[in-house]
Amino acid sequence: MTSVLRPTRFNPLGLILADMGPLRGLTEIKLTDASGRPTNLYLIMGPNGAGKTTVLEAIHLAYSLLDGRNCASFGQDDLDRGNGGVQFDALVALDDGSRSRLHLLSIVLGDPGLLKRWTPDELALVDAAKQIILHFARAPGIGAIGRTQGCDSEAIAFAEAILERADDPPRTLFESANGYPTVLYFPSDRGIRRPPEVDRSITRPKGLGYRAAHRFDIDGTSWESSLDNLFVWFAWLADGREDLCRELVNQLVFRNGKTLGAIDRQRLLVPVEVNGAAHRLDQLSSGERQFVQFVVRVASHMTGSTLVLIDETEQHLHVVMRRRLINLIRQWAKDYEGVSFVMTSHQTESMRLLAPKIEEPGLVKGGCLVKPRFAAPHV
Amino acid sequence: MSNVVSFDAFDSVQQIGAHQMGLPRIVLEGQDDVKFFENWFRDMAHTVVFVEASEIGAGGGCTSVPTAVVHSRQTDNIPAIGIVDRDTLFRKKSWSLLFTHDEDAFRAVHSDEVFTASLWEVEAYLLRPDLLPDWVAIRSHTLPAPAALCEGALQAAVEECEALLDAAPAFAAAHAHRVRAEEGWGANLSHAELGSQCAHWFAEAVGGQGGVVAAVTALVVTVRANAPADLAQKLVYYLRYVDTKRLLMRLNSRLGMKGNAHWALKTLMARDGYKPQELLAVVSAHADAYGP
Repeated sequence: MTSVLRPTRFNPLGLILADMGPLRGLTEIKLTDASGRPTNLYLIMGPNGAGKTTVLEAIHLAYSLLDGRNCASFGQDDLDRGNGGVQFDALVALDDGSRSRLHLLSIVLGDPGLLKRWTPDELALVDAAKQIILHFARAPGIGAIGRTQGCDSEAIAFAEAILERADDPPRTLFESANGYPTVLYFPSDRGIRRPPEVDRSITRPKGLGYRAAHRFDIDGTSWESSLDNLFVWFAWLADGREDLCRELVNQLVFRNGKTLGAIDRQRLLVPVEVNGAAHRLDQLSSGERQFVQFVVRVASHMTGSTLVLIDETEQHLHVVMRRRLINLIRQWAKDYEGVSFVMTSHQTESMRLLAPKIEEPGLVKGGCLVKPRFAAPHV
Repeated sequence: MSNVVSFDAFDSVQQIGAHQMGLPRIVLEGQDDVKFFENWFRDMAHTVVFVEASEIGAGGGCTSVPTAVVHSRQTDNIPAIGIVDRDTLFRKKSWSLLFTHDEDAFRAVHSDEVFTASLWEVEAYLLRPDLLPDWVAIRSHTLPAPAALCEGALQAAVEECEALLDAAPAFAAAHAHRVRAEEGWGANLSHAELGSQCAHWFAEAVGGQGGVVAAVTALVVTVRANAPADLAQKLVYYLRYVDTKRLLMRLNSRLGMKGNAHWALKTLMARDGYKPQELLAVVSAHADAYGP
């Protein structure tokens, strides 16, 4: 039987891509600052089609492979054709029940295998005992994607701990005591739609339990995965999360007379009250829907080792809401140790608000330009 | 070049922003110039960006544009070219180049970094002869403006240029003597009064600059001798040599126009889709060379 090493801390350090999407050749993104500290705010900018989303998708894919032992395919063309490769590196604290050790975990995807071997000096810089490898590739003969023979035993023990914890429901909002890694990915096609009317009942929300990877695109395609059901579920549990979630939305998103009201227990929905009338969540504006989804999903699903990926961070948002969102991200990065954000943006103003060149307590900032047209001054 | 470049490779958020935008720069002297260029070349906004020199690590003054261009190219690594007004030569006291009628000789003032516009100031490109009647018609204090006033605007503009050419040696001498004539000085004086005031001024404040007066007077004679006979062509030709802001003030006064009337010319140009061809050539060449 495989032993289990429980992760108590998980800090992303970087990503290397080989021939992935528009990013041909080797592409390395260091999610650390100049002194090697893991960033908790990282901004990716660049022109359309440069490969910003490819970076986020690759990170999400690396986490999502932790949620199962096998899968039919990577779901990414370059990886599935055997040409592309990914190496996602993170500093992970693994606890065997008696002691905890820091390792440099490399989650490796695809046929090229390990893309970078960390040197002893590099490992020492991040206090890692050694580099351990968890390699996913297509198994010869079987055809499914799974762990290869080359995986280190500590890495397998870590992966087994993740599987063992699967579906464990969070007890609170902002559950930072749990150090298991999770990625909350908000792709650009996110938002809230009207859930089907026919399936409405008090149902345990799909995806609320622990997973290494969450993807929040369009909420509401099914009742179980809808935000309405999440609010209804929290109300049914009566543990305060429903009130707190509504309070978060009312404080952080609505400042224009709108209020997220108490659950409508007859119709099983959370009403948006405005000027004495009420409407559904999916009838909010595109920007508001996206902002509400972001606030509620991060609060509900985060662990103490959370990476939040946001593609096209400010899409659909008015300048005031854009600034509010960026400030919220900054605040959460400060408030919750172990939570970090990797965002893509086209907005220079957001970059200025994040102020990557200014040191601030509680924030470790970084960023990169993908395929800039002109050479950078200090390359 | 690598697919990604860390923010650590940049000195400032301004640099990061400029590289994120990825557009070559046209560096201009001031915010008004930026507004004019953005208005004329709005359809090129996706290929170049117009920037005031002071925004790129350069202070004010006539050297700010070349300094900013060098900074953009060498420090920021963003391709840039500057465009300055012809009056830069006035500030540099380069009288023979300022008042040359020889276009080949004038081309010598262009450098790899900076293109010097042939007209005195950016506002001079607004004074298209064919726009003057409409301009007077919509900006006159007296509405409807008398037809004779509108139709005589071109003649009036050329006459005001003549008056300012007569005064050019005085202004040059004053500048050489570090005496600054107030911006609106002489705007309400007749041609004759302007001449006598300038003579008085020479004696009172600008003594000892006889050499400049003589040199510029001789150059102005040559300018006049080479002026085209056609009135419209003559105005365009004179716009190289006369202080545009003074000309606009004198025209405002003579034609009874409302204040800051020249902004209406910008609107009229936009109505006609007109772009100054000389400046368009510079902007287009830079966009073609470095734009996306």
